[in-house]
Amino acid sequence: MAEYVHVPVGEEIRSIAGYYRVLEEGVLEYRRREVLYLVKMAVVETSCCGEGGLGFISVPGYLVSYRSGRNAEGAWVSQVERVTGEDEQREIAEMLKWRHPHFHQVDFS
Amino acid sequence: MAEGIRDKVAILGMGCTRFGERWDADPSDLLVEAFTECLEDAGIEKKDIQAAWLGSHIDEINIGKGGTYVNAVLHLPLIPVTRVENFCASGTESFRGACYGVASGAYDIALAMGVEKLKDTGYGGLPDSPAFGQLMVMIGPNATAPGMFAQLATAYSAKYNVPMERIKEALTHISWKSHQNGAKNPRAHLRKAIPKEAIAGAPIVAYPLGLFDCCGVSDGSAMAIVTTPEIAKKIKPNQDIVTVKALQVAVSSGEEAMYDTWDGARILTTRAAARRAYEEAGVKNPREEISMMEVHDCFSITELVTMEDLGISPDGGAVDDVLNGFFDLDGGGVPCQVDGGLKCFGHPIGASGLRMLYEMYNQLLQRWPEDRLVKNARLGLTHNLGGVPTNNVCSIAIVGLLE
Amino acid sequence: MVGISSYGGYVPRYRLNRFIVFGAMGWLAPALLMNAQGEKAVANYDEDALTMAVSAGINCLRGFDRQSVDAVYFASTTAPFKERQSANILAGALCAREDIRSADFTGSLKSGTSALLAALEFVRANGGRAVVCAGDMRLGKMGSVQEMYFGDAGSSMLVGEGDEVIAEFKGSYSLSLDFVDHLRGAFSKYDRQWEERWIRDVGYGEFIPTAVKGLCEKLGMSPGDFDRVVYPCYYGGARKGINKQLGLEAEKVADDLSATVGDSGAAHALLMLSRVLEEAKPGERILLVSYGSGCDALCFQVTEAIEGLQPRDRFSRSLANRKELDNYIKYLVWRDMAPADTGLRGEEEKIIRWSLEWRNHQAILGLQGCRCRACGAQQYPPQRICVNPDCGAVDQMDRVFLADKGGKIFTFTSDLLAASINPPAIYGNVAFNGGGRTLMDFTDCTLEDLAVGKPVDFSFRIKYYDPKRDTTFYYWKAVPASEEVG
Repeated sequence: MAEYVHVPVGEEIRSIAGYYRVLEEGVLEYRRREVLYLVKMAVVETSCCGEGGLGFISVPGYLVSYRSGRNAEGAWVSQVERVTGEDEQREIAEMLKWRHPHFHQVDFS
Repeated sequence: MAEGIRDKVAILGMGCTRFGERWDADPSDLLVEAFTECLEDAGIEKKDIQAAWLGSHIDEINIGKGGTYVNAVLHLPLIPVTRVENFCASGTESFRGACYGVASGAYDIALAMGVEKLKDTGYGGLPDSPAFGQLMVMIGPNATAPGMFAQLATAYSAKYNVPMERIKEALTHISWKSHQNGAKNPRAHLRKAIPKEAIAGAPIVAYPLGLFDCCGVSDGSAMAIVTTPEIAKKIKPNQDIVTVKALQVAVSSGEEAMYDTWDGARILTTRAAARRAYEEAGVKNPREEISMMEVHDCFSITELVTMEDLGISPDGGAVDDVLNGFFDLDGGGVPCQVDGGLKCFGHPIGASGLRMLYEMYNQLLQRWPEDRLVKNARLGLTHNLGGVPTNNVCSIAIVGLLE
Repeated sequence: MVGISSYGGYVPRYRLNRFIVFGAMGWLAPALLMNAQGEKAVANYDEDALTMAVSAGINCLRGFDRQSVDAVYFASTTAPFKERQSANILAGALCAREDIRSADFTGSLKSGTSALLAALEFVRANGGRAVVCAGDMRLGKMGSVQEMYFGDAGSSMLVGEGDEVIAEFKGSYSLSLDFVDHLRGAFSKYDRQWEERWIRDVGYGEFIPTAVKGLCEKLGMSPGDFDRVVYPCYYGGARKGINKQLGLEAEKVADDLSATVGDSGAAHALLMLSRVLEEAKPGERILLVSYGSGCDALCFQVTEAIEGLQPRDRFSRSLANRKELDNYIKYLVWRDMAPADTGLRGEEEKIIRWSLEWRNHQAILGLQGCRCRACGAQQYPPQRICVNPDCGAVDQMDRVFLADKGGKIFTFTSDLLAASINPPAIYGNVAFNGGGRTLMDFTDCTLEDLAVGKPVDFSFRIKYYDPKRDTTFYYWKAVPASEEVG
């Protein structure tokens, strides 16, 4: 079991080289379980050697309980079970890429 | 037998601008800002400066070549101004020139400057600057710095059999720590603490480096005025004196790029420069004796392997040290990137080496507020790495209180 | 005895399903549906006619000493330069000697067989070996019939004499006609063709039988005497007609590869021949006919030596290395048929310095390095002072050929910030088999295909194209090896 601390949708998270933003929080049905995923967009605007933007999807895991508590900073926390199997990762990634064309990175960590 | 630089040169004063995207400033504004602070701190007049060195990296923008622009701004009275360029070590090279000028007896008081104004390119990155000869311009990959440094991570993972997830966890901690420290620093480019989950949730820019593992592009300037310890004591009789303990530079020999022995998971130049610097400074056990560090965290992975290259962590042991908080400001170990590092304080290339020394100098003199002060600091180490892991220059400086 | 000593085919990795083209362009050209079957081979963004010819040549010369080649001929209608001989770039990439004959054959789709005939005649007159490499990457306008049936590929034949010959050359017959079914002016990018029925019925339908009959008459044979017949013809109906006219049994006539590769222009006849030679048996007689501005018809007889040539699947292995290109727009951008914004960084210029290139041309074109006589360390690029920190010998270097040695991945990364028309840029340090390392681009792969220690081959590719000066610069890239290389 792992925790996912919810990042507010639409808020810019800034580093010195750029920022990213969660565009959408979604749930995917996969083998009768619910997979929590986040669609994100990053912009690298002033890195020391280049610039660019990219879309990426993170998968915190299978939902065990959705927004069941809050952490010390007051952010929502969900309980998830990580997706670790190679086959399930590949299949889930394919389904998500089908839903979101040109999102090449799907991250399960 | 050369005896080295130890305690032959004292830092009389230093200055440093606020780093950042200085849309408000020309290079001249940055120079004046740092110079005014530096001269005031040194307690001397402009005419007392006998020679100056200047570090800057990019020719295409910023101040161009030579030292003429700079002296048309500062109006130092017809003294030598020598521009040095050695990638990200340019600032430390400028400092080395000034220190050697004083240590040789050629000058009593010398100035070391660094300045870089990068935010005039019209795009986010930096212009390509051919550094490995024109043949490599034609045949080399269209590589970026994150891409080149990212390869340290893949090699490190393979060599020490550390899973990439655990390396990522350590990289996240490294970025988190810099943001914690940078948030407290009014002159830092980026002043915002970031929760670890936000760092870990960032996208991959060059596998396996994420958005928060990369440093940015900043404008800024930093300077030092150096003299002999004797003159320093006369000018500042009631103050601790900070002296130079070691200055070392090492440049790749082609072994890393072309020969078969390098393991890809360490920086050979850092190891060579560190070994010589500790010898010059009389440091036997760096993990115990070095009080604090500013290292070249152009990427989080660089900081990770640098901890091993500097002999602070054992080979293969940096991940554990990082995750145990050994390099945190209050971790009880050797605080690293106490001012926020390249990632939060910023990285105007030619000024970075002097910015690191500025932090060490002020920490040694206990000038910072309690919440970002390293207690009982005796020795501070700075480290720059220019170029790429296969082909680079490393500079190391150690400064400390005059015993 | 003079004839073919070896063969090699090269089919680029990407394949575009013709239905994807129809899906994108069918709104404008509904009749395209007629051509929307099968797939066509598509050169990667860093390939062109010349690089595909080099890849086929490397494939063909496996097991042969590159320095033994006395003539290098290149055939294509899409050569990268009007002035600058492609055959010499090809010879440099193949690490051939410099005291050789070289020529470019162009202007028609039968230039591949014209080059082969010139090579056969060269060896008959002078002995030795001659290699022919053909490549084509023709463009049809978006939604054109040509876009549907043109495919990209390279092919190669090594011509030799004596016992090494696997297919003895028995004779030829040529027809040369200014029959303008297709044309491209000197400054045109796209193919233009006349009415298809005319091309089919008069072009293929009359000239191929005429050439075959001419050859048979000359050699005292009849078309039925051939065990394998190779001729390109995209029109299925015309093929049936030609077979019937000549009395050819359908199973003896080679597949024209239209469903898997497409029509690869000047390379196509030799590509089909390489496919046929994979399965040919000693004693069999092969008829090879090319088509374009006339025809060349050639007769070969397979010898016992073919059993000794290894490996045989020099076409099929390349055909089997396949990845679908599921994005038609990507194809358009790669071919500069649609302008794409690559950002300000992409506007930075890389100037090719030709005097510098000439001083280093063996290292650049042939991936030639050096080996230290004092300590044995292999190194690249060539050094004057040995890079081994324990050696340092000065000017003690022997030349080594690295292009066919292969290597192993030492480090790698996938870089989303590097300016590229095909992001992410994938590159890393490669350790050459036999020693030495260098930093290189990777191509024909994704991040998932790479791991530290994995074997790679080297492939001759476009390093960059300078649109302002219309200049292509070539260099080597690493490609994950499909098999362990020694």
